[in-house]
Amino acid sequence: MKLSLQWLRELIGSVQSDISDTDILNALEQLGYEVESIKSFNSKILSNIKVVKVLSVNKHPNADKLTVCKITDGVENKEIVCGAPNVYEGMYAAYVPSGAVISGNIKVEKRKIRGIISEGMLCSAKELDLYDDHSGILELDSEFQLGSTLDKYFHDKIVEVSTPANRYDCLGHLLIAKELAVKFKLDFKMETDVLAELENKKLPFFDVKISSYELCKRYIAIQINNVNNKVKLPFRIMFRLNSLGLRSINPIVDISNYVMLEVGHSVHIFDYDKISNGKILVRKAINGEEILALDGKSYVLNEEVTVIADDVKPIAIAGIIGGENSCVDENTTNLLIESAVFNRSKIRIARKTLGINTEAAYRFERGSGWNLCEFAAGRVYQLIMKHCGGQVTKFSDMKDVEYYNNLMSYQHSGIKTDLNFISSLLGVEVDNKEFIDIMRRIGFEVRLSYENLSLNRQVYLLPPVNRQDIKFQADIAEEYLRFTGYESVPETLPTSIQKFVGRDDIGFFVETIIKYLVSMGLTQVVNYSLCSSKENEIVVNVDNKKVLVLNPVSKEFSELRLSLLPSLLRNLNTNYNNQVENVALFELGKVFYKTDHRTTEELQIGIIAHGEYDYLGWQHRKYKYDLYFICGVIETLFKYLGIDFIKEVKLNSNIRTFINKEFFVNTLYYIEKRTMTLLSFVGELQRQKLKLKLPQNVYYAEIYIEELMKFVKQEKIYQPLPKYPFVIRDLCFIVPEKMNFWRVEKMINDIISSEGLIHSLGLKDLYKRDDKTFITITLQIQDRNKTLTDEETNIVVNKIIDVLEKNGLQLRRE
Amino acid sequence: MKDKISKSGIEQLRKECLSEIESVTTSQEELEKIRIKYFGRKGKFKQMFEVLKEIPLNEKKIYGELLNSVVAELKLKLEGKLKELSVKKVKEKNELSILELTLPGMKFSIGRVHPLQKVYDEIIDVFLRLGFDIKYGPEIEFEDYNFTMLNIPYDHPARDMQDTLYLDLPVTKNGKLLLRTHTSPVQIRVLLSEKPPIKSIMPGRVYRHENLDATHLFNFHQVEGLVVDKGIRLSDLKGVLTYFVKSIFGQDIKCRFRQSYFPFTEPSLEMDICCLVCKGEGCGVCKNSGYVEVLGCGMVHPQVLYNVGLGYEEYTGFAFGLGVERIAMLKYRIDDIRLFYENDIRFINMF
Repeated sequence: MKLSLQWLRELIGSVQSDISDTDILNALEQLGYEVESIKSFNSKILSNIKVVKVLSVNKHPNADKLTVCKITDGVENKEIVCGAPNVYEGMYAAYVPSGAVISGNIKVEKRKIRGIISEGMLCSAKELDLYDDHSGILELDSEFQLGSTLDKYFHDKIVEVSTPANRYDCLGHLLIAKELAVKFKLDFKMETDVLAELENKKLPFFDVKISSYELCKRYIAIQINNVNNKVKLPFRIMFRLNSLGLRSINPIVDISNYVMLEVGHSVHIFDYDKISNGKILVRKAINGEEILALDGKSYVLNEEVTVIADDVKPIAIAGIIGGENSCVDENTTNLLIESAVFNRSKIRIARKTLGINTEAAYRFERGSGWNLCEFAAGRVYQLIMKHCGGQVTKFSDMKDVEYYNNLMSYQHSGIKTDLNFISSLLGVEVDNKEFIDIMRRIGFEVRLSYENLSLNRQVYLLPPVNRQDIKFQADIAEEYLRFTGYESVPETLPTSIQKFVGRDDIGFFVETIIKYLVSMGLTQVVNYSLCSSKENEIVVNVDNKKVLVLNPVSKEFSELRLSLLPSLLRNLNTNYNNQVENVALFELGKVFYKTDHRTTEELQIGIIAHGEYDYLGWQHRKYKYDLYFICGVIETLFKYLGIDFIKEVKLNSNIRTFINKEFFVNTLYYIEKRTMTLLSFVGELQRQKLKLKLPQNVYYAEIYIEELMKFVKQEKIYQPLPKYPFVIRDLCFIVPEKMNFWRVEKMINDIISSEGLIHSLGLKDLYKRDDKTFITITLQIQDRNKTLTDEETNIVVNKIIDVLEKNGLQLRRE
Repeated sequence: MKDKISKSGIEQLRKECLSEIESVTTSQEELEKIRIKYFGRKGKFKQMFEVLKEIPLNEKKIYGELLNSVVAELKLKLEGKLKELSVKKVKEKNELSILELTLPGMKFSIGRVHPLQKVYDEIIDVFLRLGFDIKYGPEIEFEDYNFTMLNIPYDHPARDMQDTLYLDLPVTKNGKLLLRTHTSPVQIRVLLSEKPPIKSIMPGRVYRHENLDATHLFNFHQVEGLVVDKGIRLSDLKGVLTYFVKSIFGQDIKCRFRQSYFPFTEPSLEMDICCLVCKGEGCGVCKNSGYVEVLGCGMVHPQVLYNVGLGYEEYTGFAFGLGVERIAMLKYRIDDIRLFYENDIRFINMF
């Protein structure tokens, strides 16, 4: 919401006082009106612009759309050529003398326009950086002194603030000014009983029917006849409207808008003569009913929408926008002022279903103040009578009496407030006198339980009628703090809570893994959890697993991701496009899927590698990322965590994996040995099938860390270090291609363990000759209790050879 | 003849030769020159021996022995020096030139932690030090937990403060399923499952219906905090959050609290820190206010406590929610939030 500081200052009654703009801005922030932007007028431009009066307007002899105007600044006369449609004799206007500079750093010079010399120009509001209107020249009025420069008049600041969503009572200048006055400890008086004059006139009732008070709690209708809607409103009103972002329509509409900015309550005005039979009915819209609104668009309504209707047709969408068929235009002479309290929830739903955003809806969906409704009606009535004349002919004030009584009784029951509680809630000692003073200034009625507050610090507070947001002592505490400031509260620590906590398990585990992966040369990435439906196809049997967003931001991000792979691939591409080709990344993130009627969120790690691992720099010892790199990362991690795993190339059908193997050339699974739980998937991507533009092979792995965490060996127990030397034996075998190397390892391990020996096993070499594959295994064998002899070693080695040969391997004997 | 040979003459020649041998440091050729000069066919000692032939026998014997011993000693020195030099030469072969010495060392490819992770870890660390424990909640959340239980009724404009992404899933008895718009529903989960005292942080990813731009994302990270017990005060909130901000941004950072509105806290506050770019002078980043917003906080709303079955006034508490991306942007002066999710390695390597 936009605010004019000058207007606020005027309402506070301190135009001349020493309250600076900065004071007001700080106070606004402290009161909870967050300042979002501040606009000052350009005094550099304005100091060169003069107030002039147009003496005569004549047609330009050589151009249809131009006029030649005589103007005066009170001292000398000038002749200028003007192209504005709104220039007229007697007009007060803003004159740019030749040599002066206007918006956009344009210098205005004396020059000939179609044969006539123009000594400067008359300019628009936009050309002066005042507000965005270039439809005609800026019209001033006789309150401006001829010949004076404009910087004397425009030293306002326009401030955009955000207002708290629960405060419907502060959506205009008046009540914000009231709060500022309390903050600055100034007296502030608001007119009351603005409608008393009308009530006293004993006017005939305007025929208003409200079909259900659920739609509308109060409806004030004032009919005025014989108004003049062709008058000019004072510059002050017009300027405020314009600089606060509202367009001028016609005087009557402008007055209602002005009052909305002032009071914060939106009043609608109908052309009385366009209302059939002069009757108003507030009702639900009929499904399918149509209305052409003031924004020029036609809306098809439904029962969720409340309308204002006459005998035959809807004439406005209640609280949101007026209808074209009942609008006030320049020929309007008889009119009906509507000021109402609508059901905020219904206004909100209607606005959302129809997709209309208006200043009125913005206010009504927050709520409407019972007395602001009345106050706004009175102000509009006053201003119309003052500026447009006319006679008031009918008046009615329909209200839901029961609701009104409830409201009053709620207000009168008050909130029991214990100043000791407020003090302990805030951690600051509340001063009795200051507290009561502030509450009274805000408009609370304070009733003391006992005369002596220092003995019993309980009071009853009756909030102002338009502050229905205040219900609890906490609300009272907030009010108190808004006006005393948060600086008064000291800084303490919640020392009463004695809890001893450490890092949570998952957090600690994740931290360990991240550190490990980074030390292995992988860089962490963070990706969006949402992806496109195409990206999710990387996973098998997609459709019944996907979780879709009902109202996605865009197609690109319309589903929750089933796998980390697509976004990791995207990251490779991003970096490749930036000429970074050699990349190894990992992401720790959630994937989402449906299983039956449940949704699961699972934390996974995805690893991707492309290009080379440049580990020796200039010595050209580079390593191309391959499957073994990724496997190494995983196996080293698993060994570190103490996981017993099996490597498989095929999965039993009962083990779950979502990855679509069609997109991979080589795939491998890591499985927990005892429970057969899938811990990790590794594969090389099919570059062609995935249409990858990357030049090298891409390797991918995912680790199901929620499963992994269950198998981490928590307890590590010391083993005495071996005292005797080990022997080394190398064995070379011819191995069938279909052999799972992990099984070879396992056979050897089992034999050596069964002999009660300790050992380590390494793969020394692999080579192919003809169609045979040779592997060389190197074994370090050690006895805990003695030095192994050659003979003892040979016995073990022969056992190994024996078992392996029975399993299809063949020892290579030289 | 006598003056041609004398003890002192031999001694002098010995000293001369010895000092010449000593003076050689690097070149074997120089040593060879010395050898020729003294012991060559026309060498100085050869000449001495020539003289020896011409003197009387008794003298010949005396001088002969002397000369022999001196020559033997010097030759030994010469050989020793030669050995020393050749050893030196072998050593020099391993010596690196300045260029070689200053070449880059082995280039280890260690990875980097993502800046969001770094900041996240730092934040968690501060609260662990303050004795908070860590709780997690799902990202797919019930409408009731995300809004209603937090005192944000269906028809309230406060729901517009957080535009929501709803999911295409069957409606539950706790309302529609949605992607949580903040980490605050975890407050409800914790309050429903535990009895006070509660002192927890609840980190995680949250979602909003926002189009991507330099300051908006449809998913980002928050850390929620909740402290509920008897006698928890607003001053405790101020103390904890001031400690937090100083731990993250440095002990000298200036901060302030400002009135705000959140449906689930009352009083509600916003915490600002002095703008790090202009140091409070006023600039584009802080919209000329000298301050930038870091987090929202407040005292737990009585209605929220009632909603989970706790009595207000008996129990009070405070809550806060901070954006990890926002803190990271402030800390590292990053001006476009999308950079975090582009994962340009050159960007990540900066941290």
